[in-house]
Amino acid sequence: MIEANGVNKHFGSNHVLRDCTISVDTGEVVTLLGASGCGKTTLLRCIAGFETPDSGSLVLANQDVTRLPPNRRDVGFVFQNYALFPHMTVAENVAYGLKARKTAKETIRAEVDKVLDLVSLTEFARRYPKSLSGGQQQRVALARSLVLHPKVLLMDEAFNALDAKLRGAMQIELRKIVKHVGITAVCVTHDQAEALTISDRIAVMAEGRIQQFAAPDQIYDKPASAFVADFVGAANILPRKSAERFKTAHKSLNGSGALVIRPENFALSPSSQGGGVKGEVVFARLTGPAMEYEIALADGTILRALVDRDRQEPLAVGSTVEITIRNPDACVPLPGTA
Amino acid sequence: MAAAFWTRFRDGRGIWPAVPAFVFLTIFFIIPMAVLLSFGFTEIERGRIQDSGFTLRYLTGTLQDDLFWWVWWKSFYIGILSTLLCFLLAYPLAYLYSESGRTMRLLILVLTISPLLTSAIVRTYAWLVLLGGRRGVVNSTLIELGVISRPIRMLNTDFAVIVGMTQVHLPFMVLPLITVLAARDRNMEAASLGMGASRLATFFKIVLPLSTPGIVAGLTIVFALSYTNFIIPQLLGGGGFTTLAVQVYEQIVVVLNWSKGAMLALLLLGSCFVFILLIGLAGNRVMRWSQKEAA
Repeated sequence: MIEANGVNKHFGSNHVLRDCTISVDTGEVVTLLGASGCGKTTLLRCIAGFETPDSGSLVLANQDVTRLPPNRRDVGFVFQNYALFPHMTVAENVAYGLKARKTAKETIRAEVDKVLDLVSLTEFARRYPKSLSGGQQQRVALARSLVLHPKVLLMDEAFNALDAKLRGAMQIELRKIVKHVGITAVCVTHDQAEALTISDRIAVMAEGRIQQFAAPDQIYDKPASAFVADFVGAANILPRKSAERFKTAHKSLNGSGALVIRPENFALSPSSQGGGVKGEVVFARLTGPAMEYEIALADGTILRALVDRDRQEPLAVGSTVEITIRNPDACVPLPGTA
Repeated sequence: MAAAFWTRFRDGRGIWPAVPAFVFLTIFFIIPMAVLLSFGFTEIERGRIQDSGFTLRYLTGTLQDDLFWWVWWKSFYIGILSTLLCFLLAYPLAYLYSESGRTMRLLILVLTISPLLTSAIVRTYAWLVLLGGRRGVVNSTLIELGVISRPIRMLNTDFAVIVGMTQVHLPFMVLPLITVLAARDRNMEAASLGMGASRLATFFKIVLPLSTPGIVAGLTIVFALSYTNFIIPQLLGGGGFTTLAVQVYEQIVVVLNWSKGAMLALLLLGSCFVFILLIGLAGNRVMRWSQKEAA
């Protein structure tokens, strides 16, 4: 549905996008994930048509749209601040695009009713955006795009304006709506939890490049680089030297470079008989269902370990532990790194 | 209680910060104004208050006078026309400002504000030179170009007064419009265009309605200034030209009928407030979306 081939973009001397190639299938939800300034929003704006790539091409639904203006691309765009028209009611906002297309009045009414029902805003049709909550405003913005049945839905940091609790709920809601409609969607976010929630596939970006483009479980379980491992979820990236200690304890660990171990993959034993790596608990914190520890190894390396509370009584700061790896297969070697 | 009062006073909370200005305005503006306007309800002969007490003679006399209503109508339509003309000229300029780069913005701002550094009377005299008789700049240019063969009478007409007022008051329309247009959210327009609306439709349905606060401010200021201005009608309208404001001036300074002058001033002030209120109410109606509804 969307093909971006070798897209480059400069802002002055700033090389914002470097050879970005990405392919999104019909009905797929893809998230561009990265820290601010990594080029994710620029790539989204290129797909929308608000920016034109310096080189490379963009294909939407088998049509080259690289040079087409936004209004001829058949894409819906949800802005970061939603850009709802404050002087129009919810229903008028949603009807705006249909009116611009000179749709018949009865059709407009039916379509607006249908899409407001989809986002559960039927009783707010006559209200002005200002009187709605952030989550409701976001759903209006979504409805306003969906009512035009675009081929592609683009969303720029659509959850930023919401408070933390609502954000999680709205992400689930959005995923359900988008999947129900079956529309192809590209979202932009810097929040890895959001990316994991809403996406079929995630493109992790840094410094204008796509670092890894894969399904959420692949991104989490098989990160392609230290950057990806660190950005998505918490990770211990053990340099080669520290990794060697674990390799003697676990024969199945191989590879020569650094090693990525997720905090939940450590087992800590207070006794000293298992032949694991020795360490000292330097910090402990309750995260709810689990305890999170910082453990200092003999060489000074600090490890982060997450242990479910039903698996083990909390360990005291200062106590000595032996660290073993629960599932050596889940560790990711990063060949060619120190 | 007394302690709380003192704390509020010392910390400058409540109405205290407004008190100095209020005291000043009361002594030097509100009281003299009230005294002046009260002259309309008593008999004044050549600056001496006669002991005739309260009278409604000037109020009823003025309201029953056809000439008063004719003069009022003249003030009103000159004020409205020049206000609308200001709006039509100022809006595109303010829009250009909002779409321009830094240099162009500075240029527009300087050109808009610099006339305010000259006295309005001087600028009005300049219009005398431009519009005046056969040797006026406009007429002589048109004749030289062969557009007309004989000079058109421009000075001492409604046209001259409206043109003069529009030029003098234009900055007061441009500035509030610049403020709202430059600060507007461009994503609104991007959203509108993205949904398939044309540039023109986007302007009339999104940009224009959302600039209502600036429009209301501009219309209010310029109407109040145009409606009550007495210098421009006197200079550019000629001897036979009169508006309510001119009448106030003549009654008080020339005829020395202070009672009649005070009554006319009161009616001018009162009606001006009414029109400003109407503009404000109309603006509120357009802006009803900005009021928070009961949830």
